[in-house]
Amino acid sequence: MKNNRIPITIVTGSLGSGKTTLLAPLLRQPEMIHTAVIVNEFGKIGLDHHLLRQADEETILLGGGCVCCNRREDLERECKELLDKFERGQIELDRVVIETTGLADPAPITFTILTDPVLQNHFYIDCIVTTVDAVNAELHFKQPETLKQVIAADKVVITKADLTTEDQVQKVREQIRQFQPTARIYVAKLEKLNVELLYGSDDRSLDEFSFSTEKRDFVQRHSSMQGEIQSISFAFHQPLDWSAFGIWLSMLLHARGEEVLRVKGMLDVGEKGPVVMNGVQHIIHPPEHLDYWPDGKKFSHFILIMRSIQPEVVEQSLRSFQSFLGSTAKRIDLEVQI
Amino acid sequence: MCILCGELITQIHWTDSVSDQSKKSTIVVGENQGRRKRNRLHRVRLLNELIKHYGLKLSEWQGSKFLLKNQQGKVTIVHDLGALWPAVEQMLGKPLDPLDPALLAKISN
Repeated sequence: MKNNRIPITIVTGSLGSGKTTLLAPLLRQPEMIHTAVIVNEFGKIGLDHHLLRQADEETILLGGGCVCCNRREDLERECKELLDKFERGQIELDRVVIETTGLADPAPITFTILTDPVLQNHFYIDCIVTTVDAVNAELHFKQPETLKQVIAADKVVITKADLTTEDQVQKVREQIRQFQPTARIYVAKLEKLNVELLYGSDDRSLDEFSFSTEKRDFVQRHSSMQGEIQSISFAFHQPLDWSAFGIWLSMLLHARGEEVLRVKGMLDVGEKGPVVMNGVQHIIHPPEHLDYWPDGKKFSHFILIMRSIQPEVVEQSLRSFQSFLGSTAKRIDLEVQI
Repeated sequence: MCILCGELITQIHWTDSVSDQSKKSTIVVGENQGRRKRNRLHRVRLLNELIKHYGLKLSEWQGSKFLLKNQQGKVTIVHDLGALWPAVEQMLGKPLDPLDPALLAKISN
């Protein structure tokens, strides 16, 4: 728990990609006894848990027409009800797991929790777990919903690995890495599942990456399958001016919020530790100011995953704003360990 | 709630989050005021560097709001960066874009 707020884990993934199969054994473990589960649809495999609730997906379209800024009224109601029971002492609650439907977009869920006047003070989004079916991944990646789910994820779990070959699993990993350089990728082995899979990792270090600043040629993470989704990463060698960076990013997200799919980074703003940034579209989690650099490594960096914006244009924009920023941005290549 | 204008503020914009806010349970009244004021003035200075290219001007008001003015004297009150960009767009009557080459060229010079 962070500031007495209850963590929420969102489990998402396309239809039949094994969300419930993944959750069922995890929920049976003793650590999960005080975890409430909200499911949007019942699959063939029933979940068995005493704090299980079912809610039909209800989206309230807000004016403004932005796809991600919609309120999920069903979740708002369920979370408030759980909170009510918890505060009356009727149940114990140390985590909420939300299992979405196969077509759900995780962004409105995050938006609901972060903007509701009550919920934002009692809950926080700890982790988004997306399941990817190793057998049908290629088919699923053709659907925009699945791509969004994978891009929003903090952890991607490849399921059904036992039904296919090692090579296929490796291929799926590579495909995921092409458009999602920030998430951790796991391969699910049902007998060895650990509940920590549902917890947001504390170190938040990008330990799966090795960065090379020497190699200047940017590898375009582009393939016909994922269309025009590309990512760009920057490293900063001097402390950034946080106000200036906030101006640039808030302006970018205001103007291009629907095309910037994911923002993630750890920035040196001249404090003792970094500021951790995490955002899905223009919904930015409240940045966390850490007291220390994870692993003691000081590495100020920033990743954007975008649709239909050329990385070069963003680089150009950041360079022009540099006179404000107080630090030179250096574009880096992510060498992702697959 | 803003006690001056009655605006209900339910959200702290992410750019307004500060470091030691969450760690301490008690603060002395006025303890961080100097730093906060400095930060706000610094932000206004940076923003003015940017929005002067649109013929607009921003000023800090009483440590609680920002006033956005255009050259015809029209004034809008904004609370944070989340509200500033829509207000700028409304005053200009056209969308903003930090990736716009014309804007970038102006800034760089």
